[in-house]
Amino acid sequence: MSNFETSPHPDAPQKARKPPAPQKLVGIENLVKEFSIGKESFGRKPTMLRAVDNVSLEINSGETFGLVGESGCGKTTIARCLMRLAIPSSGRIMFRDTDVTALKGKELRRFRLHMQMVFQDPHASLDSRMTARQIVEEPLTIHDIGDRKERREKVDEILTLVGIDPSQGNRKPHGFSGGQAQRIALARALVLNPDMLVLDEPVSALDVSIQAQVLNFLRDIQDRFSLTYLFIVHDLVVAEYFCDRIAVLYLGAVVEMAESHVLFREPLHPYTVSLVSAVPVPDPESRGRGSRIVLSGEVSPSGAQMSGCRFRTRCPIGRNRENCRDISPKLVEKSPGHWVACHFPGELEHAVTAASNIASPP
Amino acid sequence: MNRSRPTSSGQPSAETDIVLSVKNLRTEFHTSEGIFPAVRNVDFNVRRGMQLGIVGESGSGKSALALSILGLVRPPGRIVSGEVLLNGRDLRSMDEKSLSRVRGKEMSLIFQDPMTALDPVKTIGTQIMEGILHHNRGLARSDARKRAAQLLDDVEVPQAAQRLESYPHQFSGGMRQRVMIAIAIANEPDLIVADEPTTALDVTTQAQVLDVFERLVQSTGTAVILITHNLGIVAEFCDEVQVMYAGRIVESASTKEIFRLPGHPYTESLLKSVPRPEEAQRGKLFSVAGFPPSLAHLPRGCSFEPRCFAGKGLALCRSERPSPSWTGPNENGRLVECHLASQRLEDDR
Repeated sequence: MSNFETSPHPDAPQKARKPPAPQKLVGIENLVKEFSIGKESFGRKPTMLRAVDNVSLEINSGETFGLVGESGCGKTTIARCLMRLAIPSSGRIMFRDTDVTALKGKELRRFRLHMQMVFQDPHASLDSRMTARQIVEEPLTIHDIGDRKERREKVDEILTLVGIDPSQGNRKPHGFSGGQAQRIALARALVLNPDMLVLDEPVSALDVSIQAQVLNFLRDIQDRFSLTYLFIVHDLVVAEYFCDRIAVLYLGAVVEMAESHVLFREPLHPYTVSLVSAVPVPDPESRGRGSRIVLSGEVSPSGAQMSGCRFRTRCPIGRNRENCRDISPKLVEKSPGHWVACHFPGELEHAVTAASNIASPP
Repeated sequence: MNRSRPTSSGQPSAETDIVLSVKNLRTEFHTSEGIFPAVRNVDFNVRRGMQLGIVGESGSGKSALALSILGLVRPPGRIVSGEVLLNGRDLRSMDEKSLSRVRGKEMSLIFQDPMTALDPVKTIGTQIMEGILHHNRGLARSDARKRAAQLLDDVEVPQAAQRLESYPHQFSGGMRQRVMIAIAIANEPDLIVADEPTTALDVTTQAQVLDVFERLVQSTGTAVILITHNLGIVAEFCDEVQVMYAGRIVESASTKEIFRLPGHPYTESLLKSVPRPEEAQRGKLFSVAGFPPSLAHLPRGCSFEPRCFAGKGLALCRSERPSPSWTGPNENGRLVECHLASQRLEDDR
């Protein structure tokens, strides 16, 4: 018996987390965000690139909602719209009963108390000239919370919480390792007691051992403070492990959305199926089983403008089909909670299963 | 994929079979804050056609090792001792001119970020042809051009002949990495060192690029040293794995063996840190406590001891540096640098 096939760790709490009561915290409705590329000239309209194309989704209180997809699929743009770091071209974003897209000035500032963001590279997102302590204190100063002494106590408390010794608080970000710096970024996000964190690839820049520390910590504080996470990630192994529900994006649109374990066990959209099959599996025994679907071509932004299904030029099953060429598939609920935008959902999965059945001896 | 699986690296085998032999290699970086031995007296061999993975955390010395092999260590770093034998000749004794005849011809390098490795003001075609013409004096430009187009086609860049005129910025990340592969294989080298070649790519593009790369190195019999932190890629691509920690190779074994039963506690910790949803959907991930030691102030005993779940606090581990030892039956032989290795692997005998 291999050592690492036994239980994960003696200290690992094996409690099954109770499913969070589905209470809506964020509602994104028909969100569209366009960017102009090229210049306007002689009355000619600039070309518009639709980075987010009519996305609707709901995030429940206390859950971890994952956005996955390749670079350029619009996952970060959605997060930026949600944080109001970008202004949507159309559509609404509701946070509880507030329309985030309509907020201005003081109200917008107050809204940001509820939602904070953590970025991929802590050494880039933290001001290198400020000390850890100043970085964590800054949000309190901006929002005018507490007096000097209270702030100092709060900073001590939060630094201790994220596992940074407050006595090291006078060091600057570069005096910390990547994992520690990411904890400081988390401390900055947590110091305002937000309801929700937008985590944009928070562990992608970290080594696998440090990644595990940070993921464990994120889960800890989620349980302790009933936080809601929007988790942007391209590493599907991390996504499957960490998220409750996941939306798969392709060229700015949601192509499939389901509970994490459903999405990875029974993916219905051919794009999801290929994504899942492309993940390198850390198990040499499963190597070369021929189950990998390698997509041809690459994401091309013009795909969003073409008729029919935006995935069809790369689709292993829909490339030459009339339906796929002419009709843009709608996102429909195939089974409770499992949404997919495809004319032939599940077909590719069957093909793969069939092939591996033939390949493997009885 | 039924390749003949070479036995463990470093084990005696036919001398002619060995492409690269690294002996007692030590590379240090001398800075105002002290001396950092990034590579600490490392020994290993790479056989013809072998696909060797080197894994470890940032700062473990894997990239410094790659640069040392290629003779690309620049001040404040320098190689202080040891030999790097490529096809039997010591690269360290060569001058820059002889080295430039070896690099790109007998061995080549693929970097993580093709955008910084490619020249932004030269066409793709020019950059592929440079390598070909440098090592084939007297070759007509038109022939070199044909060869470049063929190479681009080999790495599955569509409309290869036309794309020779493109500049790097007109290519996507995946396409640029294909160009890097085309340049690396242009002269059919005996060894390619690939440093995190797919880390910057999306998962679907990564699968495409790895597929192309694997097909090409297998058809030419080129040996590959793949430096990565992604254990999934190691499992899919490599025959053998070397795990680096604080400048040492702490374990070396066949991929199958190392994943089946990691010998070094550090290897085991790395493997356990990878999320495995099927096993622990909502449990905690195993994580290695603490951080890698500063190379300037290594512990007196085993450099992993302060973080080790097996040996932390043990008198032997604290006081003495372990030396590498062979364990296991011969065909599954592995090299482990740990005082507790034989004890840990005993059950497997």
